[in-house]
Amino acid sequence: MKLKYKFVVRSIDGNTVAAAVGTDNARFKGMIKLNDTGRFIFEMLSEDTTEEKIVSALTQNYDVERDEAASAISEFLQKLRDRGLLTEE
Amino acid sequence: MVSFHDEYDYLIHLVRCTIHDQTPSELPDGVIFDSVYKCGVSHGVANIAYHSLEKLEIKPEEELYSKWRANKDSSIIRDMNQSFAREEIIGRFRDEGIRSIEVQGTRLKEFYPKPEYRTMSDIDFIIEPKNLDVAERVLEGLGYKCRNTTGVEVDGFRQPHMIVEVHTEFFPVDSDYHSVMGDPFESAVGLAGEACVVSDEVLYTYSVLHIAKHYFREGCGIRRILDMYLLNRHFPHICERECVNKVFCEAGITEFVCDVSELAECWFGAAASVPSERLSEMVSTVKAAGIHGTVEKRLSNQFSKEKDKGTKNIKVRYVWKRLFPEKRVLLVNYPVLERHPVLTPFCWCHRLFGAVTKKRKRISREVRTVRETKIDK
Repeated sequence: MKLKYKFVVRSIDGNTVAAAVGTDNARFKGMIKLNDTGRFIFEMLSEDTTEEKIVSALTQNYDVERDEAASAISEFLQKLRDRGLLTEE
Repeated sequence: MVSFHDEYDYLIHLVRCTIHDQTPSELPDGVIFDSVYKCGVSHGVANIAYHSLEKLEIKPEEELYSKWRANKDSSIIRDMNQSFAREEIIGRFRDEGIRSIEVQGTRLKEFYPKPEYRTMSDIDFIIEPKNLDVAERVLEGLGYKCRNTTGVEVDGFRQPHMIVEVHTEFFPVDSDYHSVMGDPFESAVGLAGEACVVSDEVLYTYSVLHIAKHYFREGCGIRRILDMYLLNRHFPHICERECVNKVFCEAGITEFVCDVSELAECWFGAAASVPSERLSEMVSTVKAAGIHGTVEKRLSNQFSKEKDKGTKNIKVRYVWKRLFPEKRVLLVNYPVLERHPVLTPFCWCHRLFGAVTKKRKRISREVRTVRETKIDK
């Protein structure tokens, strides 16, 4: 799975935001606010990956239990799916 | 201490506080947030003012505050998109061996505390004339719909709202300022992986001339006065240099540069002050203008220019030209004329029919303005 659109991530006033760019901005016009781990996951999703790989990468880079990470990632991915931002190829 | 007479004064105060990271005064009596917001939108600075709102004790009502926040967010999204598009184009130009110079908003953003504060309606580049056709192909390859009607400029549009203008000169031949600026690439230095940059003197001179061009043509709003303040702040001694003064003198804008710098300092300097009475006309023009100026001001200036040239029947000529524009203008919407100029009368009729059925309000406003505009020498 990966992000359906091309996104650019930027830090603004201490917050991280993502916006679809190029012609994809016509398809998704909003702005997504991300926390630190959200940014990490989002950046992984710019290339084709799996939920399992994201969980492993997150637990390697952050001080978090695997179960806790898996649950948070699953919830985050579901939010992206609900907004039509993920493509499962 | 500056007192606030109207929504414009308070808007300028909010913008100034954001630029200097100061705490703003609370909303003064007799001013309402809704009017401040509307002025901010029309002058392209509502997004900057928003950051000061966050420091107020009494904020706008939630509905307006959300609208204001959305305006700020949309300027961030637009900036991210323009920044992406800019890098994309520079990269492709580089691959094709096209030297490019960035001008206007993309350079002015550098002088703002945050790039997203300076909104832009388009991205401007200057390239060498020999590369114009390749540049058009590059833009088309990136998904832009292009038009090149003058042979010296390519305009590209990509959905949803990306506009790119590729010029080959600082100012077009018919501009008053064409002859005072030299070859854009004369002082340009290439940077690895980036667009070329012009010298500080050229950047300053060009940017100020650009402000003057808009001011004297259709009027310019608060945002351009802020540009002026930030240019002067970034290049504190450049306006004293002989080469810069010489250009301003040749362009006949020496007095304008002094006045606009004074106004910019009064409005946006760290210690705000009330502009002197001498600047009252400029203050009114700027407040009335908005980002893109006004039709009234544009026509008034255009008619005065024609009068200076000794043109007779100025208004009749103007209306005639609007009804039956020359080929160069028609080509924008009727590219078929390039190959079949015989269709010109059909295009005139089609254009007129479209205007009467779809733009009746705009036309009646323009007609009224033409009728009411006084021609001053």
